Amino acid sequence: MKLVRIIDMERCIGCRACVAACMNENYYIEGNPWNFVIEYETGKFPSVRRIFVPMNCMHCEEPPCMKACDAIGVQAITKNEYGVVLIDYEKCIGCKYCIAVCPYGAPHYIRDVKPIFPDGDKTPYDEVPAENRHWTHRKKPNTAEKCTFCWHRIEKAINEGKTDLIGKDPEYTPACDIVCPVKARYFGDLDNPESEVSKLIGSKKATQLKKEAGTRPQVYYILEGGDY
Amino acid sequence: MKHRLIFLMFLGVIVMLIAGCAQQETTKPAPSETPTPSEVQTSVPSKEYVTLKELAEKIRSGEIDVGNDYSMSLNGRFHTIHSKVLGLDCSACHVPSYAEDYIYQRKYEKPGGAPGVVDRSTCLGCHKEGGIATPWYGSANK
Repeated sequence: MKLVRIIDMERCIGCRACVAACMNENYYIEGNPWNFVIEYETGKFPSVRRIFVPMNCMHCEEPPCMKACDAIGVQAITKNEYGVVLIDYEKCIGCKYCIAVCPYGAPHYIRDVKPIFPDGDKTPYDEVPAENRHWTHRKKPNTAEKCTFCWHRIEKAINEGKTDLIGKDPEYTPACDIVCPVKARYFGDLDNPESEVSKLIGSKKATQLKKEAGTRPQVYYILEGGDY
Repeated sequence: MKHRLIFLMFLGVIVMLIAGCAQQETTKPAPSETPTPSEVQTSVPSKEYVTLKELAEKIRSGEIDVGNDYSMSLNGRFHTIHSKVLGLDCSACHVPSYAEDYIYQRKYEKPGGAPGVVDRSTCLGCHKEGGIATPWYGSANK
């Protein structure tokens, strides 16, 4: 099973519902969004256009972050059989090498674990103790973290034997993908030729960003004009 | 007649001088006088040229000590390799800001204390498959 995400940039309106959903789902801490929307303008007045590019970890097939982490013997980053790249916070030494090598800017460094509110008050989320959280949500200072494709949801599907529902049932699908109001996000198994993502990649010529890096991302984008 | 004789003698002296010089240039020292390689090295200052690839290998093998501080600090291994050993100027990697349409998740952040942001495409030159440095990046043609 190779899990992939497709983001339709022809449909994205830059509302950032995906960013908000990710923050709620993954115990956001200040300055470390796992999901982010880049925006810029193209064209000349009056023919201008605003481009929105939702970005998260690309879960590359050849992740440079993992290669760098392995090269220095830390081995805190792994890529599992479902294609999900995960960071083990217990092994991470906070060297930031993964941050330096990622062409997409996905990993973030946690300097301190601070409550979201500036006055120091804790939200109900902040108050959930680490032992009651999924291990991917146990924030730790001096570590790197990034999008996990909502691994806690995928893991649940695996444990319950419902992998066929990944990308279809909201319970087993990443939070960002189920909240999109304009249906610009899709998630599913690329190894299944009948999945929606497989069909979309073929029919809409969805492509990866920064292909020159040769990391073969598992997040695809439907761009105006198709593949490049 | 006397002048002619003097001229011929003068010409003879010049020919002998030229012949002498030529002999001096072509004369090779006897085998016993040939300097040994060590004598050459000590007498002539030599320069050892190392290619970037060899340098990278020496860093990987530990022959060149770049420390064990795996961090992005200025004295850490990362900056030691790139700036102190490889001699890259800060501006080789750090640019004042990203282009308007640069696609990068932490586009609006600048590393603390850094002279500018880093365009990751610079890294591709050496760190791709088949490059001189440790290959973080694959081939775009796959």
